[in-house]
Amino acid sequence: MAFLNPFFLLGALAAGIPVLVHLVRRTRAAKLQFASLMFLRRIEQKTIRQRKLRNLLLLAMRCAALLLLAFAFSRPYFTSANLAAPSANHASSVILVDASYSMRYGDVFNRARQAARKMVSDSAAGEEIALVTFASAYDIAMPLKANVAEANTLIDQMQPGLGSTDYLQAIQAAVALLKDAGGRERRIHLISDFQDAGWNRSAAPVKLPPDIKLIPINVAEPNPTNIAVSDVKADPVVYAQKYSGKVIARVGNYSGEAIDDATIELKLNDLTVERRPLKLDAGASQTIEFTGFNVPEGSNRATVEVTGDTFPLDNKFFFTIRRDNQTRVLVIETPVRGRSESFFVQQSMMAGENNQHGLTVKTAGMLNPADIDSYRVVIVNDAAGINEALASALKSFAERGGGVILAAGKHTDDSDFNRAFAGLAPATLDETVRSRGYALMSQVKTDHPIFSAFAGSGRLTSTRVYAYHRATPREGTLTLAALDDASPIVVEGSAGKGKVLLVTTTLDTAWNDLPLTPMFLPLMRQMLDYLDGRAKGSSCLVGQVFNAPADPDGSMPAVDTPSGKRVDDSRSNQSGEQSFDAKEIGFYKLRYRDRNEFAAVNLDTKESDLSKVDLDEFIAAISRGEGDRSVQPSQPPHLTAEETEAKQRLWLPLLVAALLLFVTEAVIARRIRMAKLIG
Amino acid sequence: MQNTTQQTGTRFLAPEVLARISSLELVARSVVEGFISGLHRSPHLGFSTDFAEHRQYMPGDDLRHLDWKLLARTDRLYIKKYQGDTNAQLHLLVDASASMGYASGAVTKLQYAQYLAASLAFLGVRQHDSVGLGAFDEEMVEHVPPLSRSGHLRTVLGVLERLTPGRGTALSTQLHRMAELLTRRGIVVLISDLYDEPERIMEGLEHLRFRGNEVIVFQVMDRQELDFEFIEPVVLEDSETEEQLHVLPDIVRDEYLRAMKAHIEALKDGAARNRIDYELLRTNEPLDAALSSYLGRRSQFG
Repeated sequence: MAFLNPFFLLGALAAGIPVLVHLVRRTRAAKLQFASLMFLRRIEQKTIRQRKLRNLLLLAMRCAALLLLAFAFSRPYFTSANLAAPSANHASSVILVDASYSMRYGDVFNRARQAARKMVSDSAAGEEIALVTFASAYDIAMPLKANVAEANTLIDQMQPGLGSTDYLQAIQAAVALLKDAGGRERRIHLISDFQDAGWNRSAAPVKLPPDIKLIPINVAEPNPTNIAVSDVKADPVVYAQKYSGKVIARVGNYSGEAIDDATIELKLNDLTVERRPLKLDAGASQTIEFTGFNVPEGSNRATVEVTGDTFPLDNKFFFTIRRDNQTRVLVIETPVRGRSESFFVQQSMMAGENNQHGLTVKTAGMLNPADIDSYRVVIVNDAAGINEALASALKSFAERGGGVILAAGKHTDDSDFNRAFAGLAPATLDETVRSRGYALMSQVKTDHPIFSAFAGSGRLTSTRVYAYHRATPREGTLTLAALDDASPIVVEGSAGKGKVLLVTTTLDTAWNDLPLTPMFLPLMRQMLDYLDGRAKGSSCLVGQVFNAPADPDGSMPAVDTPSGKRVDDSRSNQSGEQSFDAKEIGFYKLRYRDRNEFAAVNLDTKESDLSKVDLDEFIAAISRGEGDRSVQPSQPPHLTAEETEAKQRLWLPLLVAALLLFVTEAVIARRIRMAKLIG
Repeated sequence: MQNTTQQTGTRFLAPEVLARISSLELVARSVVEGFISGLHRSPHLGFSTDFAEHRQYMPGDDLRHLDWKLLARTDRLYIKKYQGDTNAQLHLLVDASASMGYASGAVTKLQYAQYLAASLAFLGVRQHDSVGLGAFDEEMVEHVPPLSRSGHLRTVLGVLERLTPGRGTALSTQLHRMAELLTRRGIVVLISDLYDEPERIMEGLEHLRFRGNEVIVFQVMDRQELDFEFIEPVVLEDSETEEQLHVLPDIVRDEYLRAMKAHIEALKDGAARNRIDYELLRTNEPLDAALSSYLGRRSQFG
């Protein structure tokens, strides 16, 4: 036993106080003359003895209560060595049961249960057993203890999950459990179907201490047949009714026999789009493409499903295809002779088949300010002559949630710009700076969504800027990109619900070479996506976290699981989205006020490959660190004294006992006193 | 018989106050005069109206008691003697054992007994009784035979004043002895803390009764003896045997009080059976109760 606050044990000295008081009072008893002891001599010694006994009981209770109090405050706890001490002569076993989804195959998990029960029933009396289920993570169902009945109950309650297998972390957990066990013999029983995919050879190797024995128990089906849709690639968002891209599905046959009578089917919103027969050789995989089907507006549930085996769980792949209207983008420019200054902007928008943006280019003089509201994003591309009505319309457009890019070039007069966009621009412009050579855009905030795609590349910072407007960012704005001398090139601000980006140089090649680099196109699209703020389709694997973005008005969606239950364990993340743990496969329904969105959750398809691991190789790999005890299991970490104490909470019963003693002592003392008064 | 309607109030001096008066005579006078002044005045000034005999006038006799008719007939001066003037013998028996020396306050039991005895002697002399005194512990330490002559009171008071707490008690023995000593019946007043077995005490008192005496018993007790108000644990030493006992008051109080009560009840019962006046006196209370008791018994004695 150890103590978290051993200094409080000094408080146990307080238990001596009642005794000390008793002794002091006894020795201090005054000697007095009394007329006669005739009657005192007559008092029965029995009565005195009884009362002394009663008082001694009270004294003992007071002392005990104080002792318990001091003991409770010192926060005692049993160290694992103490806990293990009684069973030091017995064996300790950890039963690891694979609960990945491949264990759902046929009768495999029942066999695993039976094997676990047999382990428990074969255990010697007093043998400590721990039960751990694992897939990609592990769960300690029962820590080490000698309780056969509880172990059997927990084995009955075990169910296979939807996770994929990871042997190594489970073995690490078992080693950690056995590390402090006091058993004479320490064993790990690994009950699994021993898929090869569950052994992550690229992970840090696990070395089993020499005194821990690993006993594999294989419960796999001898010759399983399994085909699975291992992956589907599709455009998550389309902007036309006809799906012009390709849905590419990869199907694998993970059995030793060829399958001739399989079918593959694409469904959209539970309606079959296309079904094809499929032939798969043993161990082969094949890609199948679908295209040219109609996509309804909004978020659509799409599945690719194969049939033809006895394990249908991994035969279906879920994904979403969303059909959106094109983002209408308005470019306001200055009328010039020759090529439009918005040429590079136009080119970047119109590239590709599945074009997200519908672009309109107008000069300031030709634009009716009332038309602005029909666009999602407005780019003021070095436009001179912005009148007051247009500036005001742009401001109210931004405040209602529209996105604005203000690009300042040679036609932009500083004072006109500052006056026109006083409440909109995130910075005020000063004089034009023309470099003798060029300046580099060396400071880029790559953690911002606009530049996050370029985080791994240094090419953006080598952009040459020949001229720019000096700018003074307003308070509350964010400089996203700047030159060597910290002169802002891209500044982000906001106006009402909308976002505004100020670019202090041109969007063509007049003042910089960015449009000539491969980064211009993705950067423009990132900027427009960011200002547009529309969500893309989302999918993730089971066990991962998926995020449901908030509506532009800030309201959060209600989320239903694929089985129709309401998700109630959501949490908000830093970017204001709701996060959920994906626990089921299928479509999670995000119910916004005006629409429904879907998020697809799939199995980790590496688990579909049921081919077996070479057990000898596996055990040899695990045990090759024999004699090397330097391996410290990282999961779970060894419990600190505080954690152990917090887990055991021995102080609570001690404190309750002390309080009960105090109360009992008070009641008895009061009864004695009352009896005296009545007497 | 005088009307003894009693008044209460502060005219009775508290024992603590009496303790500050050095002269026992003065104490007795203070007590008795305070007591007498509380009684209704009688036109007969405290004397019986029953004629008994004549005696020759002596200078100093009150002229009011001259028999004027006889003077007219015989030309001789005679004083009328009345029944009330007949001397009664008052025997004061004072316990002067060591236990009587106990006091939790300002006045020991013996001092209280002295005041009481002195007051009774003073009262007796005022009524022309002959007053005797016996003081004892294990033995008879003082004995003054009863006399009614003038100056005898001073003798009695002088002996009383000399008394100090002595040794142990042999109460019943001394009572038997006193019963043998008293040749003429009278009033026997026993002032003691009565630390003896009630049966043995009663035997001694019965002996006195058998000899025709009226017996009044004053049990003088200290407040602490009766109430046992010790709080802290104490070591008590018996004042007579010097035996020591470690006492936890909380534990023994109930039993002690029960035993004390039983003792007092036994004494009361025994006294009632033998027609003995019994009065329990606390040393912190005035002496009037004792004097009233005495006067009541004195009037019966005639």
